[in-house]
Amino acid sequence: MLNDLGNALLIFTLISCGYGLLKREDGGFASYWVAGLITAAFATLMYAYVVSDFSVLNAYENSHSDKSILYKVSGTWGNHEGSMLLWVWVLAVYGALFTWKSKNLSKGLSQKVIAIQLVLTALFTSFIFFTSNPFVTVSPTPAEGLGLNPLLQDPALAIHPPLLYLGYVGYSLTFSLAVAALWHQKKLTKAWAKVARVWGLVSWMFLTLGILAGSYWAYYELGWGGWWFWDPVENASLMPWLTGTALMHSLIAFEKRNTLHRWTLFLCLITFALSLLGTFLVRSGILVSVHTFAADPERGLFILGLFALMAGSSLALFAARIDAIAANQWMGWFSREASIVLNNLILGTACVVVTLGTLYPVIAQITGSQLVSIGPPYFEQLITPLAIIMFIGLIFVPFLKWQKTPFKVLKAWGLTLGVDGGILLFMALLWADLSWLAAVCLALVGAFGFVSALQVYKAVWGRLNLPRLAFGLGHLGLGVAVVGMIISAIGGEEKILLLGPDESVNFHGYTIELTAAEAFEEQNYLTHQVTLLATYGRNQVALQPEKRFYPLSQTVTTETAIETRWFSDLYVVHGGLDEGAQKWIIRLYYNPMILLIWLGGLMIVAGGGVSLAAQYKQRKKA
Amino acid sequence: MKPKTRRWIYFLSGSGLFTAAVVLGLLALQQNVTYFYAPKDVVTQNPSGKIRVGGLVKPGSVQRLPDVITQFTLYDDGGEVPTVYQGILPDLFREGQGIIAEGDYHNGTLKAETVLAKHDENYRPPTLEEDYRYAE
Repeated sequence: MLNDLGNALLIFTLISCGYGLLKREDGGFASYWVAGLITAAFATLMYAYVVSDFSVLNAYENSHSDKSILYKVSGTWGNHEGSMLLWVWVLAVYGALFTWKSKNLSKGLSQKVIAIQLVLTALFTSFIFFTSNPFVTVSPTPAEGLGLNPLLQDPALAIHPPLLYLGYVGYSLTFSLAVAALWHQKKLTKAWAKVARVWGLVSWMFLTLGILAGSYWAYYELGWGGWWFWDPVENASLMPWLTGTALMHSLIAFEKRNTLHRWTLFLCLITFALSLLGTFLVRSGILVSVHTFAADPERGLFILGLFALMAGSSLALFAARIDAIAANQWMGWFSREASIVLNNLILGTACVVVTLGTLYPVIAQITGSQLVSIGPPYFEQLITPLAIIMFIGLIFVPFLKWQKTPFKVLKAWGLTLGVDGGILLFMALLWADLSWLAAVCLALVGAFGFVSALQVYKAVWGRLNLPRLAFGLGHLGLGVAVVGMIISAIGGEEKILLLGPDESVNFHGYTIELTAAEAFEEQNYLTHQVTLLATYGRNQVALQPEKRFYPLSQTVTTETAIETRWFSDLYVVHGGLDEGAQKWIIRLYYNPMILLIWLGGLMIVAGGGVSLAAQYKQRKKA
Repeated sequence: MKPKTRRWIYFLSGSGLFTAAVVLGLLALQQNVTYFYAPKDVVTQNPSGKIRVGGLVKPGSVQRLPDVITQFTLYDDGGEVPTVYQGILPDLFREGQGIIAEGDYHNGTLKAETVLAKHDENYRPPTLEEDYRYAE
């Protein structure tokens, strides 16, 4: 029953897309319809999960009636078919939102945007219908489902895919806007840039939140003590984030100074292409990763085909038409727009580096030479110098003016910052005997944080200046996050040891004593838990890391226990029983200032939110 | 400066940076690529440095030493690789199990930094699977 309903809804979606494309003046109407139909299809699938209707193959394979309601709902997108349906749902909803909010563009242009959005929706709906249909009937209806991968039963991971997709797929709108502009063949206007900026910003905020949620999950769930592993699937979300960040900045230069037309349009196309590539890499199962669900070459080829079609045709259109619609604008060497060019070059280069390292093993495997893997050192070696160059540039940005900055201003600030940076560097070298590299990085980021904080202060002191606050907050967040990254990397400590009952160990100012070790049976898993009493000064806290066994899926997972003091974590992993010594293997991590990474990340997103508010206010005034 | 000249400067500096990034990237790739070997390839090719070995844990070879150090031998139909690892072994590590160890190969011993074990039947990354086929 639910299967028939779901399939009918998908077919009606395809028909509505076709109608909207044939009668383009009704495209807006069609996009509302499409959004409604896909919402209904997605709700149908979710309903099958919630009421545990196992005649739906997808629910049978991925759900279980014992699971809590939250994981039943999130189980809807915790698998390939359901997550692709979520993908298309987001696509259709963005299309409808654009239709609703597109009053500021000329009719011809917005009709074209809607048409392209409908083409995308139709292509991905047929992808779902033909290769990844969640509405397949199981007959006779099984009594019980097969359950969900226990690694995925986690609140951060429940919201991670929706956030990520709201970001990924949001870039379909900037893509459609760019292709529509090329198709429309009229000169690009500031009005276009304003609209693109809003959607680019919304997508970027969601993508950032999605990446933050994913890395936080990896941090506390995987039990490896780190927060970013340069895993190919993490990289797949980082690639569009890097170009999306570049796009967000270049759109500012476009709107304020009517410059960087070609480059901005190119970024619109490439960001969505990378989003598609990311989807392909994850969905095709071509990569070795903790994220890959099942491998299916047919699906991978379909998405690869869609990727080639989108990227190829849009870039060809770009090459043919861009000179007709773009204009040139002068810019001074020391101006804000030039700094945005530098920002874009660095982010673009970083994206090239990440893409190269992620795709190389895939290419090496396809060309059949050898099985290889690329480790984190590759990425760290290349991203670190880029980040240093970026921070050197970033320090000067608050003092740059549009068009041209007087040399006097530059000289004064250069001198001040040079002295400040020097003092910070000296302190960093004295304070802890850090390596030169770490000290230089910390001093740079410290100086940068200082000037960004100054911007926040100036923006809220006196008359509230929203654009400046957005700038200051976003950049300060970056500084905070990077300080967290550097300090947790250089000050972190890791120790593996064996502990028997009532034995204790000293670790980083804590005295840690093993007081209990017990096994329990929970609703859908068996667990073994050790209790460690961590004492520092007069404070005492019990840490209870677990090792869980899920009989349904025959999987073992590790639950970490974390004690946070300020922004630093004591992180404990249960490593099982050492049979020889009859003691428990315990892995301890001390991660100083690691929470700053996510705090900074949230500040960055808040900066985006303030910028959105600023644009809203400006539009209301106009 | 004419707009045209300026455009050239942007174009050249941009493509210069791009090329530099790709060249540096490829150089760094060369240093950081880890090749995959089956135990028999290790025996015949005798590589050195960082490698990845995929094989089976030889029954009876697992020895637990103090300080959470484990010694075991990886083998296939054509060779054996003695391996040492300090740390928590994956939940599915056991004798006869297909695993992948990555680390420094030196003087006939693999000093593993990472050990990956086969996941359950439903959940197996494809390349890993290939690695096992390679090994088995």
